[in-house]
Amino acid sequence: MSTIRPFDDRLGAWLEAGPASAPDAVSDTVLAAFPAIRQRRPLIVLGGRPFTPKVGQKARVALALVALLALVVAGAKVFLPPPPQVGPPESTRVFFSSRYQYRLELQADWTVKPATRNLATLETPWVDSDAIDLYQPSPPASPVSIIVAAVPLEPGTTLDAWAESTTRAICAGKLTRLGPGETWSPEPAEQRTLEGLVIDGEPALLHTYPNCYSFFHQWAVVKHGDRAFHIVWLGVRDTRAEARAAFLHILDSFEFTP
Amino acid sequence: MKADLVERARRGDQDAFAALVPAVVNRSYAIAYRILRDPDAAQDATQQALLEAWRDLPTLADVERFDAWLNRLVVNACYSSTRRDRRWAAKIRVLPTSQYSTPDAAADVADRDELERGFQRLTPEQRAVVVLHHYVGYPLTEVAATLDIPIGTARSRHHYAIQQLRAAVEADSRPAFTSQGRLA
Repeated sequence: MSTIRPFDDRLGAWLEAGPASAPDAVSDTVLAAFPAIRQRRPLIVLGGRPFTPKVGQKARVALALVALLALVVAGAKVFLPPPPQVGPPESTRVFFSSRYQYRLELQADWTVKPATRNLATLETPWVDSDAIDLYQPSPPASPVSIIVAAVPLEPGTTLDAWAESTTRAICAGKLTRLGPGETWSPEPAEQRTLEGLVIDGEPALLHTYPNCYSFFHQWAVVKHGDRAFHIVWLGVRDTRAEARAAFLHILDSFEFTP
Repeated sequence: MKADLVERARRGDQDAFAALVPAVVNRSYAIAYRILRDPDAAQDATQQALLEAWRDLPTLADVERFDAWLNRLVVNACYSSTRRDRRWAAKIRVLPTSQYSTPDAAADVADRDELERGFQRLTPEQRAVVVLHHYVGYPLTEVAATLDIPIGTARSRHHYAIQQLRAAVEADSRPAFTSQGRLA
């Protein structure tokens, strides 16, 4: 004779009848595998508690569209010419040099120590020279300096020839500035890069010295009329990627003035 | 103690998580088995859920909700398992009634067979609601919160699941009982 029980009781009893413990292999597998899995950290922490926004299907589509739009905008910034600007942004400052006849744009907190004499043709534009325009952030947040100077060129001097003589002058200058017992080894050739640029419509060359006197040098040389310019970035070595982008931005703002 | 382990594991403490696993693995496996009705699939789903628990623990906002959160991971792992293996509905284990000599035992076995068959016809979502409500003992509001579904959806799934189980049990039992004269 069967016992008639309420359906919920029958269902509950049937569910209880299954296994109550997991095979050892389950724990063994988990304990062996989890240390190799990197934990996901929450995107946002609110009030000391992690908060990860729930992303539904519609939200995922919206996020994908936003990401696509961002890619298109980023691509347009890279591949399309920048829109014309009326005056510099408020966060930048334009510097003019009447001695060397140029202008360039830097962050508004930069200051300049202008040259008090002209640089000689094969004179090295050292950072402590009084023949350079020396730009630095104020107060100096990091040991970064921009050096600008121009020298007169002999008629017919090509950019390549002048750049080569400049390089030799830089090396000679270093050697002559060493004190007794000091040694200096020129940068290995493979560590120095040379690339072509255009600065305000003029062909230019950019030397990059990854480690020069423990500094990261970017040295641009450009001819304009019968003058040649040094435009130098002197920075710390571990900021190379940021320094390159910043220096190219500065070079982009550089203009020759009458 | 468990909340402390959860909190430490949430911060990346591997020893804490290693101590937490034995405390939760049996319950997780039991839930997975009851949803999937297959020991191998339940084992896989439990492992998947526990590894996801370690990976996603830093996103757990309230350590006091760890059990419900883990149960949701187990249920989701079961959903994944059923999606991977569409043959799951055919994995029915039927015990032969002839092994049981007493009428009550035979009736119990008949209950099991009928419920097993009826359960196999439920969707994974319906099974999850049934297991969390009738096995884990959650009220339907807690089931809804655990599965992150509206309470109306939880009630609806439960209602239709029970209705289908009853119908399946009655349909399966009626001819057999009639042929043996047990309803007389």
